[in-house]
Amino acid sequence: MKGRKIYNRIAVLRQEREISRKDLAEAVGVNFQTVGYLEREDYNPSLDLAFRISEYFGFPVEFIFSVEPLKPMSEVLQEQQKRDR
Amino acid sequence: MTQQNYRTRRRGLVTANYLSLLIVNVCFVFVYQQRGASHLIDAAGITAFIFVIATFIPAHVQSGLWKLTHTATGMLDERELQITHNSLSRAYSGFTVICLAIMMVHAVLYGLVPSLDFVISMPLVSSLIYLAHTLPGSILAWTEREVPGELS
Repeated sequence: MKGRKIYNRIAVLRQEREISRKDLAEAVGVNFQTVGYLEREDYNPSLDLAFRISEYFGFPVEFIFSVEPLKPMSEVLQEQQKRDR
Repeated sequence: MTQQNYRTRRRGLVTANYLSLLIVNVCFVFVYQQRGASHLIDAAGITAFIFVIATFIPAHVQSGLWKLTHTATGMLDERELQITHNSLSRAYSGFTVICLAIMMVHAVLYGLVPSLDFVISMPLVSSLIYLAHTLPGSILAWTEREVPGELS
């Protein structure tokens, strides 16, 4: 059975923090090509890997991964600011 | 080199490798049967054998396909485990079909043409052992966008 596509923010977060694919791969214990597959959303990570990535970036897992296309981070922050006001 | 070029090159090398392996076996059959055996067939067989080795290195070793399918599972990450599992299961079924097809051809030819001395020869068995080891990697050459030997 083919699972649902899982969208993620790995590429954006990695570029924002200026981390190479290799460094991220080493930190979460995968091959650097696997990071490429994750960023292109060609591969759905296991729950364990998803948690390792979210722990690495310091965000909740649902902020990085979603089953629906993710909004840009700026949009999410704007929405949050509106809610806070 | 672009990703598409890597993939085309990888597939081309694997195809060339198996074609030359087939030529080696055909040449051996001709030599063994002594039907039209000549220095030309000897030379073709030896050249094809050298070509098998020459294409094996870039197609399987340098590309990382061999390493991917022959590394202990504990050394692979979850995606690599998934793709190697898929390729190994496909290769296993494909290899079984190839072996049974060879045995069937052998049985049919033995019954139909008794004068044709078709044997399960040493090169054929060696080729099958080679095939058993390289087939999972060859499947990955077709299915995978990137393989470890090629930088992304």
